[in-house]
Amino acid sequence: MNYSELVGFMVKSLVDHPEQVEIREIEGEKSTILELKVTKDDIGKVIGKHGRIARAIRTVINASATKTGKRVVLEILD
Amino acid sequence: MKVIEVEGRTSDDATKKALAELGIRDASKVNVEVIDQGKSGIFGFGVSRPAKVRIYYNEGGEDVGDKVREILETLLNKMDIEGTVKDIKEGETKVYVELDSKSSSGLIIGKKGKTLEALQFMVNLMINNATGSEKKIILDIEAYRDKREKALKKMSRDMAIKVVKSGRPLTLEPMNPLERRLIHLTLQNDKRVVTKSEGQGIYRKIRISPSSKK
Repeated sequence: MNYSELVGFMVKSLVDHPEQVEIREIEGEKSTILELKVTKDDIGKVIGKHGRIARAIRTVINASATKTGKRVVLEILD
Repeated sequence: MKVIEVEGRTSDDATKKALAELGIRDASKVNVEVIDQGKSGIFGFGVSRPAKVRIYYNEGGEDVGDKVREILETLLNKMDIEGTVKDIKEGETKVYVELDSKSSSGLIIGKKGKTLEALQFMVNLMINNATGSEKKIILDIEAYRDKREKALKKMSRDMAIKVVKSGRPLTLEPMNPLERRLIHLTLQNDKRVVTKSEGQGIYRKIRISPSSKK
């Protein structure tokens, strides 16, 4: 399962600077951590009002992670 | 939605002419209204009148429905969840999308429809960004929306009966605005109870209380 690609697909279509989207996947034993980095101007576009967009992205990731039984955490870095 | 009027020998002729002019190949993408069937003079006798049609079409060239299908199927594919777009109905302000999945519809819906809601929200954002379309996209799978609506109506009626019997208020689980609205509407004609929303944001929930008059 390639989470970076999934997150990249969603995030890149939301931001103004898709070329500056960076995603790092840190694989652990029980969980995978995804670190997402976008430019300062775009950060609101991936978090949204009251974190609505970030929550939707996390829900989508979790749905695709159910089968693997692994926890996937999305961290948005600033 | 834009409109043009075109004349031609017959109404079919006029429609063809209009589509060629607009560069639209698929006649099913436009709505045709025949204003005048026209009249052809027989052997030059009588007055001949051209047929006139009015064509309603979507501007911008790019078809929102096609883009919705493309984004959704790519998204599901990247999620590693089996599913396809079964049907798209594009209206004036809304686009209804019916999904289909043999093995994973439960996964696509999620707990209390959470995943379906998130997918819908994401697709709306992505389409809005990609095409500038302001149409609201509504996702459904296996008639989930309809089933959920019926279940909520029944649940709220059952809860109202409980409240009336016990005389004590009951608070429901948090719900989104659409679902809360549905419950308010379902119980608004029930004189024995009153409904009220409390809490903030995603935690907002409905409280059903017995009406105060004895």
